Amino acid sequence: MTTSNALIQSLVEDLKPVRRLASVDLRTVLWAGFAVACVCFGTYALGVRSDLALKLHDPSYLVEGAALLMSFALATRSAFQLSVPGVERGRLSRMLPLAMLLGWALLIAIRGARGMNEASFTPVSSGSSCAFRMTFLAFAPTLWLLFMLGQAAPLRPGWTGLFALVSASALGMLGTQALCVKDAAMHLLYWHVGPVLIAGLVGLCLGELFLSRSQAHSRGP
Amino acid sequence: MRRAQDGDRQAYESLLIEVTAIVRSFVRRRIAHADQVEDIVQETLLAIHRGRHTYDPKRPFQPWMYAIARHRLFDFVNRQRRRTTHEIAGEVGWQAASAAVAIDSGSSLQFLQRALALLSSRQREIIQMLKLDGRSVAEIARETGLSESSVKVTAHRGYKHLRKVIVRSDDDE
Repeated sequence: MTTSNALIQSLVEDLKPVRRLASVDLRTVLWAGFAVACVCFGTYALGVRSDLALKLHDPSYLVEGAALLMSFALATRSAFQLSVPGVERGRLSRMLPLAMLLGWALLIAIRGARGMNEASFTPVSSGSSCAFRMTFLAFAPTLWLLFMLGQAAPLRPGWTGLFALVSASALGMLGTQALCVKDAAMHLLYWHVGPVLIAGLVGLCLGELFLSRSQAHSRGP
Repeated sequence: MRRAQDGDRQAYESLLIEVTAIVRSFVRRRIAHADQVEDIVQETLLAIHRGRHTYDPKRPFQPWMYAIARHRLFDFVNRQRRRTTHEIAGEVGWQAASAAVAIDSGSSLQFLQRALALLSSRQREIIQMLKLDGRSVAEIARETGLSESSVKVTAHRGYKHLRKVIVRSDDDE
């Protein structure tokens, strides 16, 4: 078995100058800027819903959008914090993005329950286009985010991957909300909340698979 | 660490020596076995080496170092726990199979041979080496070219199969 002293010697021999990772704040802002630009461009290219100007005066639409935006912001922050040792916060702050996501789902469910007589809980089918739009809008930001996180050294790769995908998909879904004309609560719960949650689970697996391996590589100058 | 990030080997060596002492005492307070302590210390040193670009010189060094050490310790403890559970499950399987065979000691050897013949050749080979020849998992891994965990998994599956065969034969009788 290699002794610790022999290991130290081999690590010292292996030492090469490294380029320091930029701060968590800077990396968060850089990625978020890129992601927002991507989603804005994608949403514009796909064509926003015709009544968007009207919806922007609808308080429930705005509150639900704000909850989704907060989920995106908190998940982004958590993903970057978890990717650097010694920066991550406690367990409670790790739960915040998930709590916000749950809050978003609750807001939709409450709105649906209030308007039970309306068509709010009926149109569940034919909503897969929303999941595809979300995937399309979030695709490039997700790839870049996973690359950026892989450059760091996530100690909890599963959680990091989960927040990365929740973050990118929440932003993608925010763009989708500006495209999709269906406001029924059941549609939103199935085809807007559902895909974001599934994306989170996919992120958990991707994180365990790829981010833990990426720790094995350090970067040159 | 800032100097080590710039490639200063002397600074890096003294840092690692200092870190080794701190991490060793941190782990020793939680793990009693000396070999295991050294394993965790070495894993931490490797993780520090691989993640040295993530250290921000504007922040204190110790929280960064302890975060890595703590995670390596948790990882190690979890791995050990999983391994122990797996080994116990394997042993229980073998003991159940042996106990069932021992009831009828006259024909036990023939029965065991017949039961072993129903296993895949790889499972049979590994169980024979482990339980009949009394060789260690490490020796078998070396000889067969499999990893130690593959040897354990193959043996465990073999035990389960043996147990099924024995239970079935008891039901038939």
